[in-house]
Amino acid sequence: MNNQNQDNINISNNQSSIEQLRNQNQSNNLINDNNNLTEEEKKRQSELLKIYKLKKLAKSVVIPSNDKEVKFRLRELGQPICYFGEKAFDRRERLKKILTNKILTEGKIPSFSKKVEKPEESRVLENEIFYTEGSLELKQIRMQIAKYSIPKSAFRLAVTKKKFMEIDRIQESIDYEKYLMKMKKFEFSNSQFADERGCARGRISPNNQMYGVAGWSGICSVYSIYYYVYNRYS
Amino acid sequence: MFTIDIPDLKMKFLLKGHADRVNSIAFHPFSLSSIPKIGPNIATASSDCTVKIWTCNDEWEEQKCVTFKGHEDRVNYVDFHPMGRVIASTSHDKTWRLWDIETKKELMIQEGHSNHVYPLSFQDDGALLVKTIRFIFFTIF
Repeated sequence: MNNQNQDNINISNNQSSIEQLRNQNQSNNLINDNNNLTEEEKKRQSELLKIYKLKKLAKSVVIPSNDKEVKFRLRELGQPICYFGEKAFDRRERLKKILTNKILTEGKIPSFSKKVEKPEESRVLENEIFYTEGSLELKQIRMQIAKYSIPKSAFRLAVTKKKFMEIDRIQESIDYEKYLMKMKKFEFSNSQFADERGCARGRISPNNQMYGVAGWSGICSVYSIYYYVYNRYS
Repeated sequence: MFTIDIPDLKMKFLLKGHADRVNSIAFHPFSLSSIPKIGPNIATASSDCTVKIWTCNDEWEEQKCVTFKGHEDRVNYVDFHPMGRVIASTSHDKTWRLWDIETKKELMIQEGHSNHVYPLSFQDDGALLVKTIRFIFFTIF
């Protein structure tokens, strides 16, 4: 029984291998056929490609949105500037069509000799930077500010550079998460009426002892925020 | 064991003097420390087109002030330069101005904004200033 079975399997294997070979042959034939076809129609294909490329080129040509320039270009191409009842948009579309036709027939972009002045230049003239002379006091104070700020910013830069070199990225992210967790615990602690009308703005003084409130009633109030610390043992 | 911090919100003093609503308040960067209480400590900006600088003395009932006039519309915001000598204020009249505290004079006006100027802030170094105009951001020296 076993022998017979093995024989059967062998036969089936042989059959399958033959089928595979046939398939391979067929596919090879197909490829060959294709190759033959391209050789026959190579010319046509290349022509189609050429036309496709030209169409792409025609699409890439920038057509001016300025009506005056559109008219100039139409005139240069030997076309009527304006048809009866034609608007600027239609004119531009017409120029587009003529240009694509010309590119398809000639195979390159027609060059235009005339160029109307660009409106951008006038805009630039309007936005030109101009300086007004400041007073002498302003100059003095600016000098003071420069003397104050340059060493300070240099110091800050040095510190940040040093930090950047030393800092461990993982440790930094851990610290940041810890900080966020800390912030979650914050709660609202106190409230007080400061003004008859709305309160526009409040500021804490730089030494953390005063709190000023600007009120809409025209009166500002300043509060002390000394922190009394109570220790409780439990 | 744990500690509880309770701030006492005692009113120290009032700053009376503005005729219209007060829009902004700012403390001098050295106020209550190196500057005496009689000196310029607090700046406020008001809708009555003025900026005022106030003393900060608890013992007096009413505080003294210096007014800076010049804005043509309500003043939106006021802030001290970290150096402590100059203050800047923004206004609804589409300008912002720099004032000198020591000489009590206007140093600079910048006009030509397209819209009302809103909060401004100095960089910590004091070299740059950011101001916010409606819908637009600007940075200047």
